[in-house]
Amino acid sequence: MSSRFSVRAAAVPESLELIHELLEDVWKAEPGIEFLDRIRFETALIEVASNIIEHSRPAGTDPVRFVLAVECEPKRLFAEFTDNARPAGIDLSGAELPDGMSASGRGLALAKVALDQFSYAKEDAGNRWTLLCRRNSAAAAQQ
Amino acid sequence: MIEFNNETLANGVGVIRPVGRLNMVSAPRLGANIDALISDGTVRLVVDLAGTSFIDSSGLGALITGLKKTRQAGGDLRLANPTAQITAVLEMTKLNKVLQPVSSVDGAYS
Repeated sequence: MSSRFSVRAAAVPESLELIHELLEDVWKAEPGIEFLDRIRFETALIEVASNIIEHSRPAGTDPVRFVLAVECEPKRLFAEFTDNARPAGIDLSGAELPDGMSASGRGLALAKVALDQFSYAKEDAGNRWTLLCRRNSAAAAQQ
Repeated sequence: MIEFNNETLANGVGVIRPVGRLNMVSAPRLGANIDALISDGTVRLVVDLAGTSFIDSSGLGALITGLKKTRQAGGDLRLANPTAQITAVLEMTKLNKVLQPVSSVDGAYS
């Protein structure tokens, strides 16, 4: 059994609220998701969305838009962002947490730490990010 | 949406209370609140996070910038009452070692 949710939005800061609202719907529909898993997943989704909003450039005359699809399964939470922006060619292997007193450069590194799998792919007509969070992380941490 | 309910305590400590989410939209407003207090000579600050339901890397950046600015002015910036998401994010980024939150505003400078 899995449940699916999605939202299509302009790549503008106000769209972050739509993601929080989408996740509220997910948590209501799937009340068995652990709090820590929700925190990890929501934190990572907002960091990726913020990266798209802040750094994307239009590929042509159309403004940048993204589609977020979320899938909730018994053992994992999965999200995929696709956008129509100019392909960015991001290398996630370089996303490392900066020095503690650095005021910037944490976004993708934080998403990477929060997730179990995180990937980016440059596509012909945009960008694709996939995010996976295995569920029951609190129980796993105690083992 | 976010609101800031700030006050200055009798001991001169400035308390900033962001109510809502700290993200790329609201983090600059946190920075502006910090800057305003420092400009007024209030350099010992506490950010009371009891009403802050969510923080992202932009919010963390505003806190680190505020920490540096208050220290340069001879003061400090401390965190109180972090909610569960903030505690988790501070741990994931290892900033709990830099920002060391405490469980009450009163305990921040005692």
